[in-house]
Amino acid sequence: MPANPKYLTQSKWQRFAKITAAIVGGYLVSISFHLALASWFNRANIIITMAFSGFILWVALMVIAFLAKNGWKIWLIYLALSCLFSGILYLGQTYNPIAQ
Amino acid sequence: MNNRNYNIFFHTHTVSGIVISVVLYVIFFAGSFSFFKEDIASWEKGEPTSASQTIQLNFDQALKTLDSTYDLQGRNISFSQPQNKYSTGTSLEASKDSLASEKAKESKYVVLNNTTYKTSTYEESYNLGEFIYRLHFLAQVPYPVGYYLSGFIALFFLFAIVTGVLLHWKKIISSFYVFRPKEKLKTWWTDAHTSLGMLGLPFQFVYAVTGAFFMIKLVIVAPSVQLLYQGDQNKLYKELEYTGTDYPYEYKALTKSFSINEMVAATKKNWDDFNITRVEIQNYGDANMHVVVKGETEYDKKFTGAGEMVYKVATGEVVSKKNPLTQTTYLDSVKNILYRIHFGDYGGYGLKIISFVLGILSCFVIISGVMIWLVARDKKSMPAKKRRFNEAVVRIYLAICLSMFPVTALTFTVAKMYYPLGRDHTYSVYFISWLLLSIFFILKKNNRFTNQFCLISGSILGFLIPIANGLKTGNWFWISYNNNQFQPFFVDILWIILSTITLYASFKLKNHKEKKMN
Repeated sequence: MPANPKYLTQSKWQRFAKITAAIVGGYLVSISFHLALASWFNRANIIITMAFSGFILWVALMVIAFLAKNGWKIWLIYLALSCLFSGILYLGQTYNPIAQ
Repeated sequence: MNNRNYNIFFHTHTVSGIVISVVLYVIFFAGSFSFFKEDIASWEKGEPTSASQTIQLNFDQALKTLDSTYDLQGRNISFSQPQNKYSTGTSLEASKDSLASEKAKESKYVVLNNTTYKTSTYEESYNLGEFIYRLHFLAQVPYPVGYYLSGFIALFFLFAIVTGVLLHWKKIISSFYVFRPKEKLKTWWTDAHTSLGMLGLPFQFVYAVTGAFFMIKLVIVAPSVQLLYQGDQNKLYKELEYTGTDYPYEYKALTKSFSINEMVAATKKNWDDFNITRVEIQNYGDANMHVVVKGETEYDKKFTGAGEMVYKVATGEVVSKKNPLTQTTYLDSVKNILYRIHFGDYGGYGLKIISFVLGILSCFVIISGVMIWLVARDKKSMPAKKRRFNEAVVRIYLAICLSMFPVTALTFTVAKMYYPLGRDHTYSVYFISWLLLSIFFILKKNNRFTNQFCLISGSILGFLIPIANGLKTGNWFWISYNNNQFQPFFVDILWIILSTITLYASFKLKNHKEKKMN
């Protein structure tokens, strides 16, 4: 018994939105989240942690994207989160600049 | 869990699984054999190399020999450990001295023999172990396609693992104990897939995460460099302590005589159970020449214990020192553990054998997953065209996956009979026989035949491996056992055991089939 199609996304655009949100959006959120942390806390430790947690978080976000009801909405959420984390990263870079 | 989520997990697990399955099988199959990379290399060469964690080299003599052939003036030189005690990987960077000879301005990587100081290039020291190891991250596919493909396969493998666990979450314990071999085929495959998948879960999770890291770390490194380090990747590598201090070239000749051996010995003496794993020389022959001696503690003493001493040659003073017992940082631990848990090289043969078995088990989980996919869709309600398509997909998948076993066994035999086979011939033997066999099975259109043929031919070729070794070298496995040559003995025995198991399995399958027909 393959999965019951009743519960699966039928619209092509919705499917496209979910797949891209999972792979691209998930990546953006995972990376910006870690970089935001790295800009405020122990940089080297967070980057090396990202070597594994970066991929795990990315995959978790992929799963969440597929569970979403609306693919565009989840894209919007992922983009908003990425922007938020990028903002924190920007502030972190300004307040804790790397010695040249 | 509501029905909607269940079906979403089900569908994403199926789709991601079926897409990555063939490549993932290749990765796991070759990867399992890669645990014995050094053993295979030593078996092929016919030289036992007891594994050694420390570099056993007379550095001063080696440098003298290297200097006469390659002119070391102004170069950065590093010796690193390739896991056995007969040779040392040696990298000679181009000289920093702008007035150096043409010879010195050419960078080189050579494999240095520890007793004769003869150098050979990477191509010359290519062997079967290296071939199989590189096959498991698809290095034979032109760079960077192979690396990225294997990396993304690892990432989506992680996705398949996570969705698989979520899918089974509610019944994860009960289904682990369920095995109904007498039921219909679909149940057989499903039970095998779930319980074996569950058994290998921690193992597979580790390999998916670390595998993705090794192959597609660029997706993490690139944004870090761009956004945190203003595009200067050297800063990142320095901060993560992958590279140490860079000492500038001073254009002043070094007047003092020196002995690298003494520095290495002095470093080793500092700490108990400390193995020298890497020696780096900066600015060879210059007044600002520095020597970095790096090492690790034995794994059973301290799992992560990276230590180093840096000497300034002109003055003989120790510039910096890192104690492996007290100065281990979080950074050291993560860097070490990511590699150790993937390579499985910290627990001797026991761990390697368990890892091998779990790797082959994962191959079975992949195949059973593909079979579920087929059997679940093989119904009257499905349109005939779709069923034919599914059937063809599985036929091609099985042909490619299962023929790896006889092809690998064949390549072992050929590599032994025609030693040294070299890289190009290894490629020809492996890939051409793989292609021909796959095409044959695809045209034959009989999955049962594919399976039987691969099991039987694989085990016959597998039995030929120790025979080829005995005939060619006279070093039969009982002789190598008596002579304490463990590695050649081990590879022979591994193939005998594998071939026995597959032969037994093929007879079982045959009997089963005959019984059914009667």
